[in-house]
Amino acid sequence: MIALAKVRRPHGLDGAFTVDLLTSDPERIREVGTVRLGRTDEETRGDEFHVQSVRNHGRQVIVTLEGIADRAAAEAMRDMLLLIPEDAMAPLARGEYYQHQIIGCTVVDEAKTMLGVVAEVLEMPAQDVYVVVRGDHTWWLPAAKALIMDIDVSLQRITVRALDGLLDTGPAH
Amino acid sequence: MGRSLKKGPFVDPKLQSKVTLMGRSGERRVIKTWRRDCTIPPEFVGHTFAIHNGKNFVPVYITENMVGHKLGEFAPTRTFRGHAGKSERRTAPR
Repeated sequence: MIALAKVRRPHGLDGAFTVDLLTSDPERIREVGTVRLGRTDEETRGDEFHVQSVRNHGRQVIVTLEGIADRAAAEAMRDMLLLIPEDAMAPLARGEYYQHQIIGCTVVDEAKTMLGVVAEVLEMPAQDVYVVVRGDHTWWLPAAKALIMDIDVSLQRITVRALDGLLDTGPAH
Repeated sequence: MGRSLKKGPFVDPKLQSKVTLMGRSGERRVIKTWRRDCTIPPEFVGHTFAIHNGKNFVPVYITENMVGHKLGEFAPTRTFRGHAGKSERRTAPR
């Protein structure tokens, strides 16, 4: 299952709740129509819920599901994930990847020397940053076209132009 | 109040000289810096800086649309770490 959002606190008395979006497109919750609830993306609990409404409230997104009609029910869902099946995922544009496809990829330089494995994707204002772990050493790779030569998700391999000093980025050593 | 036009934007002279030297030699390497208040001049475009955010050095590849901003704007000091599992969040090299 794929997580679309994480439930935060109840909003009002009618079962509405705020969510942290886990998708790049906020319209997706409305588009999918039905979601499942689960504590992790591995498991689901109970039935499917039809999405009744999705609205913005300042910087927050407020969701109402059919069958969740009071504040206590919304409170019980706190920290749960709104999940959809993998085959319902939105299609990607050319050159785009889902973050979970990048996590676990091996990073190699032009000479095919292994530089580590991507452990996390951080969203930064300039570019996303891939956290690469090699043994005890962690470094950060900016997702810039000038530095990333090729991403092959089928081989789980990212080829980079390893600039001098790139492996010293990330946590201060 | 904004900075005086007479003085012009603040660009760290040490960073500027490093970039100038690299430009002359054609060498490319990551420049570590703590100068978050340094304005990005057009000469920085195409270079990669590791900008300190108080804890980590955030690598930032400088592009044209960052000119005129400060280096620190691209190295946030608070990082939101989202869901660790599978989600619809996308990424693409820019």
